[in-house]
Amino acid sequence: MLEVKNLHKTFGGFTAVQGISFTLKPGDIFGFIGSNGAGKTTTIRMLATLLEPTSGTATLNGIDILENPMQIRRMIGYMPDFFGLYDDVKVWEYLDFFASIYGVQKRDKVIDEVLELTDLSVKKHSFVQSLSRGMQQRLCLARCLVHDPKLLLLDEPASGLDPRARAELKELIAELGRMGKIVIVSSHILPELSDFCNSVGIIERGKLLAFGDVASVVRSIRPTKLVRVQCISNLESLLNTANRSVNVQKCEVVGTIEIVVELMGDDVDQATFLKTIIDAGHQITNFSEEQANLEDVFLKLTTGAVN
Amino acid sequence: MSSELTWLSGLRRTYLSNATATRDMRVQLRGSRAAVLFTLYLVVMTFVLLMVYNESLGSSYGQNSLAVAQSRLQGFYYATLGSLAAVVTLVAPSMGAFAIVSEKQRRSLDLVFSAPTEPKYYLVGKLLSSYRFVWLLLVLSLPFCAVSVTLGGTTWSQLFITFLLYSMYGLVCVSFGLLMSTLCNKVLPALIWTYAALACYLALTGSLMAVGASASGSLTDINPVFSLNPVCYSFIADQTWPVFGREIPTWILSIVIHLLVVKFVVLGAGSMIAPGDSKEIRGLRIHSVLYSAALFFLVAMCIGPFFAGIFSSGSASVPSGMKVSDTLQIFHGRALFGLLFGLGIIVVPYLSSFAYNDLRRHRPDGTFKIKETFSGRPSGHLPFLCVLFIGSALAYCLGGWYSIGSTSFMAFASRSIPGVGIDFNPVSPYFLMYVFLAFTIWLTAYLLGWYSSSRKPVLSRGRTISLFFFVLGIILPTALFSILAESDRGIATGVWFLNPVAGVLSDIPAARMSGIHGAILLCIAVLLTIVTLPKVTKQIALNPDLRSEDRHDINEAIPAV
Repeated sequence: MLEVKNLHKTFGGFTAVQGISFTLKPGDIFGFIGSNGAGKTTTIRMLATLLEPTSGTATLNGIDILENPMQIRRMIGYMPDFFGLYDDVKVWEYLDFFASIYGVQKRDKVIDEVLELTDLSVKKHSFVQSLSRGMQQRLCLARCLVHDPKLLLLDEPASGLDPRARAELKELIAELGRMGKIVIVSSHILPELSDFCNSVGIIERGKLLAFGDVASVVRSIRPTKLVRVQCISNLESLLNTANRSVNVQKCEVVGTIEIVVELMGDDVDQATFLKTIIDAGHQITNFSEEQANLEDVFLKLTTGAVN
Repeated sequence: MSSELTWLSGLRRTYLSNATATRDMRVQLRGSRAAVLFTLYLVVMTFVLLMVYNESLGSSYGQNSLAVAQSRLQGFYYATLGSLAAVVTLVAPSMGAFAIVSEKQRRSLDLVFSAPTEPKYYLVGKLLSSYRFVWLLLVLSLPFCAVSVTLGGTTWSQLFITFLLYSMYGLVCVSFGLLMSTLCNKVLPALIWTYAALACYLALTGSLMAVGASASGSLTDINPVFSLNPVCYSFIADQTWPVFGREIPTWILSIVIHLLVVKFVVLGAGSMIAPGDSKEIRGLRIHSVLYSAALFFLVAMCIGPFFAGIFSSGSASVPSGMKVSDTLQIFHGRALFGLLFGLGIIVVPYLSSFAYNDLRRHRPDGTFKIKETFSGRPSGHLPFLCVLFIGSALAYCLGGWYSIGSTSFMAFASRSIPGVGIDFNPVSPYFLMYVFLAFTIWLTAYLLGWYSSSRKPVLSRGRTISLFFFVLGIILPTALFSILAESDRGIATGVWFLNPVAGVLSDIPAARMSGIHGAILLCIAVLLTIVTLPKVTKQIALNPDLRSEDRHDINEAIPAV
């Protein structure tokens, strides 16, 4: 369990993070969304014990990041937004170095396992500078996994990767979530985050504007459902029927064959509304809810201002 | 038992199976690069030493007596050692300087410190990997020196001991490189500062060696503390030094002192890269007090008899109207002043500022807290400086006491040096005036930096102002007025009192003037304190350290959902 408690970070007169709090449980994959300079990396670096919070703290499985940073480091895997790979080092040597630092027993076996997990077994004896960018990214992830961490901090892991490499990385992160690890992923590629994250947080100017599971965050910016209805019967009559319905808040005609209805309530109310207009004799050709996505939420909540 | 085992396994992990050292070794010795480099080194050494050999022996082979030939072979041996010293001086600092800067530029330092890596573990790894390379260079040059042994220029034992000392010197050079590497972010500044620091080290150890040689009258009978300069390595190979009544080989003591210097420097590097309040800083501070006191003690022990000797032998003249004993107190006062000034210029600028940067330990938390003396927090800087300076000054007095063979401290002030007839009197006003001046100088420098930080909390600004005060306010005027006094007594007579340390004239008015200068500086220090304190208090109030209050403030309302 990761509990982040009112984290603040100031650099002189400049406040990078202002009172961030959230809680994650094992298996959670948390998407950390924000513009450049919003405070994502600072937050992640504080959780990685590389920066000291000005105030507030965080605990991982009850262990405080300020009181026991060494113990925390044994439980986290931190992947920054740069590779930091060494030249003239082979893949296995790179992993062996970090496994040794973490005091991992049976290093050869562990290295083989993480290479297999990240699909790099065939590159075990290659030099790291000879790997493609996607492979280097996977190697960095493999490095984070050598000591079987409880929490993974992945800062922009998909930046600069081609679509295939991104898909592979996405699958890998999802697998890590299934293994029971807490994963924090910061990214700009919002549609992808909603695919595999089960919770998200939106940060701007160091403040967490929204936090929760993807559906509830999306719902938080649009409490009503937006339903598009197309029919081949009289549009005016359909509009009247819709306006008379109980849960309809607002209704307007769009084009010549479609109306857009703002509907209160849940899925049952949505089904009741559909039944009502069909029972009223309207010939419906299309009835669809307009899905809001993370991008909409992000654009609506943030102003684009940076620290 | 288990804690001892843990300690032992920690030692083994740090020194014998250090992951950083292993990884660096793999890289250093990979492929043909290392082989080519070592071959090139051997070729150059062969070429250079062949030239030296021809110069010293080749042309007159078979024409000299055995004694002349051996003397020339010894010259060849010293030339070989000189080449080795040059190689170590050039290669070792650069190896150290590259070690951490390259990691910073690669941005891999974050990866290492997000793992449970202690600064000590990492630095020892870097030290071992850089040093191993230097050591290989030394070992490769053994055959050249062996030529001198087989031809009669030296002995195997001398050669072995000198090599050991050179390898210690290499270790010191690497540690300087590491320290500068932690301070700089780019390779070139790291290299420049490393060589500058090494030059200072060589100048300081050279001066100490000269003091030691003057005290003992010979370079081959030198105090081990003063044997840190590579010039004297080959002279101390056969020497011993009494320690608690037992004769110990000087080279063993010298190696121990070299290792202590390395530890001191590496602790400094550790305190630079340690992310927060850490045991490295605590260790560094305690060690700096101990080592500084030891150094002051030994210097006083050496120069006490030396000063007494120059008066008894008539090498130094006593100004008219003065007693020998008063002049001696002024000499001691000036010696201690110089030592305290040197100490101040090293530590005061570094400690005289605070800031709001990445590291919590630089954030202002008060002005004077005894419990923070060794923690590295700004409120502990002044108590630490007091402990350091007072401890060092007391150690000097104890060294003087030991040097004249007093049996009790009370007898110290009054007892004469046997056969000399003059005292070292640490409570003499002439001695105390110089000590007082040294204290007020560093106090003013410290408060200037502190004042600057209270106006704009940036570390470099406060440090620069503090250093500028030392250089522009003290060193340059002292040099200027000393030159004037030497070159033209007429001018000197009129303006000598402007010399901040009134240094050139070892008479009573000059010593008194030191006291007056000290009093003026003390007034400035008091003024600075009055101006600075409210500003610091305001800084602390504006940027309170909220951590402790907020530690248990669990989850204020999670925003939005």
